[in-house]
Amino acid sequence: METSIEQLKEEALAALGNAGDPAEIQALTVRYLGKKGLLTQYLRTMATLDPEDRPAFGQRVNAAKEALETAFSEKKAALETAAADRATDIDITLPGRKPSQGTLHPLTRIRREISDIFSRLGFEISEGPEVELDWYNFEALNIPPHHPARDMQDTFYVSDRVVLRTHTSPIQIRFMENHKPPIRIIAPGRVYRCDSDITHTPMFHQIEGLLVDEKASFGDLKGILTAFIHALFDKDTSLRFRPSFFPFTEPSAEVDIRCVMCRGEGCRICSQTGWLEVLGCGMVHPVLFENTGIDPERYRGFAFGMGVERLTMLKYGIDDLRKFFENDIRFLEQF
Amino acid sequence: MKLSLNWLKSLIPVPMNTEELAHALTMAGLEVEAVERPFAHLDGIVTGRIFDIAPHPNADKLQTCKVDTGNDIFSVVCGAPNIENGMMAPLAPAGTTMPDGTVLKKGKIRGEVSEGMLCSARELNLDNDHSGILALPQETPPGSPFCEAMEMDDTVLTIGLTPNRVDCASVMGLAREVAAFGESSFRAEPVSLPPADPALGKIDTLTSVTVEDSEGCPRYAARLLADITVGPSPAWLKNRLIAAGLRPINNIVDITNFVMLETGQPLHAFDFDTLAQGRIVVRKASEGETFITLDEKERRLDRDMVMICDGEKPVAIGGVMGGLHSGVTESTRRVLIESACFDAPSIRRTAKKLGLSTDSSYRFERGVDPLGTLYALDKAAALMLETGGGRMAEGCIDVHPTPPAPRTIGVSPDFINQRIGLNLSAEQMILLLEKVGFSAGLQGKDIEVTVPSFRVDVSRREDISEEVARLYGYDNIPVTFPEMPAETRLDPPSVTFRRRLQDQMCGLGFHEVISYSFVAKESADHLRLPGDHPMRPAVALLNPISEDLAIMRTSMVPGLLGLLARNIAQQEKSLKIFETGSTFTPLAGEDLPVEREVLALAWTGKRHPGGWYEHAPECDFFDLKGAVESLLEAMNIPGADYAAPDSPDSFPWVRKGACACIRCEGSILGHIYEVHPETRRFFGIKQPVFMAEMDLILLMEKQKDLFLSKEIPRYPATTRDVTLILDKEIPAAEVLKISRENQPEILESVSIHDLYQGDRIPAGKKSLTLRMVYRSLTETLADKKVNKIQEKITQNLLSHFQATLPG
Repeated sequence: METSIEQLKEEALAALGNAGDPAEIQALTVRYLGKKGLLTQYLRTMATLDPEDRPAFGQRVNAAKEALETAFSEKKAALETAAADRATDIDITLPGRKPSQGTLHPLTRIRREISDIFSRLGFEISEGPEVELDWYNFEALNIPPHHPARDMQDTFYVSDRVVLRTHTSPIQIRFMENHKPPIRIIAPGRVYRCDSDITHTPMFHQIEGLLVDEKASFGDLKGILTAFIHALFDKDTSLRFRPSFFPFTEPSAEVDIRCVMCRGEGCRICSQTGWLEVLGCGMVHPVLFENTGIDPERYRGFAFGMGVERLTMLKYGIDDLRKFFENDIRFLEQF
Repeated sequence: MKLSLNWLKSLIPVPMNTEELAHALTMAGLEVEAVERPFAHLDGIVTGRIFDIAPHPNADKLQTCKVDTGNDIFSVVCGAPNIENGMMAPLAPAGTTMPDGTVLKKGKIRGEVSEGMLCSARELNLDNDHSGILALPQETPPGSPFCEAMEMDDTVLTIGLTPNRVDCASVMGLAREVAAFGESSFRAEPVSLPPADPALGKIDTLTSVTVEDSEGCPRYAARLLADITVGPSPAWLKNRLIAAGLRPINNIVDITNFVMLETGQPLHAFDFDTLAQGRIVVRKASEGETFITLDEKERRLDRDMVMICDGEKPVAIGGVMGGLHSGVTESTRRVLIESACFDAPSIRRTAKKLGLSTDSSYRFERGVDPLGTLYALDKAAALMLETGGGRMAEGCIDVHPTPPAPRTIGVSPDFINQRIGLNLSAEQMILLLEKVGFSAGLQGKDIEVTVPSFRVDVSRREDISEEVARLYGYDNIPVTFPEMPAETRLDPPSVTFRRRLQDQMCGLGFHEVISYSFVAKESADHLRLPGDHPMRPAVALLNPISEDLAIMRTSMVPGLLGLLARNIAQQEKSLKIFETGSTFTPLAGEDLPVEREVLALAWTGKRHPGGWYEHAPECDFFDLKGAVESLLEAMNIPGADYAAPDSPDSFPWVRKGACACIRCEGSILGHIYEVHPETRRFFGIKQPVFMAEMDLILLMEKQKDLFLSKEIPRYPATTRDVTLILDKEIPAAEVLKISRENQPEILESVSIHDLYQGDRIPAGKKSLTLRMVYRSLTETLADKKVNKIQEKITQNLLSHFQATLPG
């Protein structure tokens, strides 16, 4: 035997001491500790020994191997630490690789925000068809044929009996036909009116709300809408209820809020009035109950409706309604 | 409705300023939309007395004069022929902005200083008279603002009337509301009608009114005047009409308009001598009859319309518009004044059919006070006699076969209090109601309300509750909160599903768009649909806003391609968008179409923005397919497979061969495809577009809503690759399917690891590398065991596809 295991160990430790980078250490690892490395070869010579010498020999080789393994891994860690302590040369000011990210349409965002507020107030969402029977869109809502109230809405007709819904109110009727009070629904959706100019698009979005129980009052309606406006804007936004007319509510009201832009000082957005008209509402007209099989002697209800575009414009400071449907990507990407 | 404050103040005292009045009206349900001064353009014009008139030294047609405005003397050069010393006239001093917008400058006219301008009526925008300087009454004080001196210093409120409050389409109606703001209530002043001239005889000896259609015309009243002088209205009358937005015509016509605006009762004045047989017949029009209205248009009538006729022919469309040949003109001497009531729905149908909306039809179609007929008639007669001279025949005609019974409504105070959320006593409610003309009293515990005839909108106890709430003040109603039911309300699953879907799409880098639900009729052609294609029949609008928005979409494709094109035109060429929305398919025998909610996505341009690290490649079919696969995975919709559609010809807007049908558990969820170049050319898109459309409800139905957790494997996996050379046409999905067939559970997955098609393998072949992952849940797998299975799979694939291993 030419070299002892101890000599081999010393030789390896010396080489390790001189090694300066991870590649050298890797090479030394292969040379000494690899499957065909020097220590393995050395261990094979055990076969030539007397059987009684073999255990001691084996122990010596294993001890050397463990010592080397420890030394190698310590040296490796020390080198890594040293390397990490030197500055790297990447230019961290280069932009990162961004996964692409899409956006929700602003109308969807506000529609969700509104629905979520009403969800917390115990309302559930209900939806209905966009092409609708005259009955649901008008007659059941107490708007008979040739009623002047039909002038309030320029209707797209498909036939004598079929229209594109001009509001989300038909959902009230459909829901009441199929559900018993207490009812609390929010009905969002696309609606259509035959009107197109700077402040009108032939398609837009409304959200309708309906609450029916045995005790509902106009005061409750004020409560729900105040809670809603305070959640959507803030608690300093005051509301005012003005008498108005809708065929499907009695009494009816329009709701103005203090201008969210100027706080009531008067600005372009509120036409210098300090107020913004954002909602229509009222106590459900008993004819609707009669038309849907709900006992008007026992139940009362209130309903309200709002334009999603209007509220979205106020929330995001959007000045032109048409932007919503032009779908310019430079607009959409902002949300 | 335009309300002149001067007019209002002539009827009742108004103890508040304009701003307070506007606010009070708005809060009473009579929204003030604008406040204007109709004669603001006359600010700056003052009254002055002319003196010292002398010929202009340098011009034959001009004169010089002085104008005394009390404090100042102005030198003025004037070209009008009618100026006289001592005449009172309107003067616009230098610096005044004239009604046409020009600013007067001090200057010299042919060498003579002119410090202002004397004005004609036309220069003041009052009427068309430009024959000379407007002469003012001698007693006019010099130096006053012209508006003040002429009682034209008025303010006009524009009130947006809701359809129910036609009673407020009159100054009297608004006066009634304004009076209720204070403690007073409004009473109309009785008309003082001058005595009739007995020499003229009784009216029913001179004319007659026959109402054949008493349903269409429940009341028809008339008076007859003779020896009337038709001419310009006095200034006060003109001012009222101008303030209300009407153009003065002549005293008779102006009075009919004045009385309509004051009382709400539309009137008509006929030149009695043009009426054949000197009588009136009210009847339904005959079908197809034609009639020329006073706007000189020929109108085609039908049986639904009420016509006012003389002994031979129609002379007016009842309640809508008079005829061209029976109106009052300068030569009219005898006037028949009509004050009538017409059936509201009939007037509405007539106005709608004729496309003719007038001040008269506006009021009749909403409902005119059936008991206000005679008041208005007498008021008009009195004013006509006052301004036009003449004499009145005795009596009046009043055909009114069935006067309406007074409407009474019984309502309990509790009903009102509970509905509104108030706690008022019956007495408080009665006081409120009486302020605006209701009469009310207690009948046991209930309030018995008699509705005034002009309140045609009030018919139920709920209407009474609104009146009480309105008069009490909506803002004074306490804010309360409804009781919350103790139950959970869940949104419909489709709503929740749609929301998650939209969120996932955003996460995948797609921007949500919202496009119109209607598209152009030609959209079917743009999609290259053959005549019998099931997507051709569409819900068409009878009155589309434009040809481009004429039918309800049967596909999301045209809308999305249109908006891609608009963005590309803005140099935004890389676009990833999606929309969730309905398509509409007519259903034979049904009124309503099938509305199917669709998720549509489109990708064009770059795969990603790219940057310093990588130049982004163009997107392709597999980018979109990958997005769909990711989406289904994220939404927990397993088991989808992708294959060529069974009938590729059903998708003519799709590029042949580049269309995958998404199938899942026997349903077709949708399709992924490249848009046919010809289709996108219709939209002017020059770059490839990849799209997918999926049925939202089907997707939802395939969603597994149970997430059952699986064991995490405790033993390591072993992988094996195999590369096969096989025919190009063999679909990868087929190879994967065969490789997995009848294999033990330890074959965890097989995936396509590599694909090569090129020179290094024989023509018509491709090289496909599959990667198999093996794992056991109970042990570390021995190489020998894995190799054996791998060998079997390889042999099976080789023989099944007649494939070879690489050389």
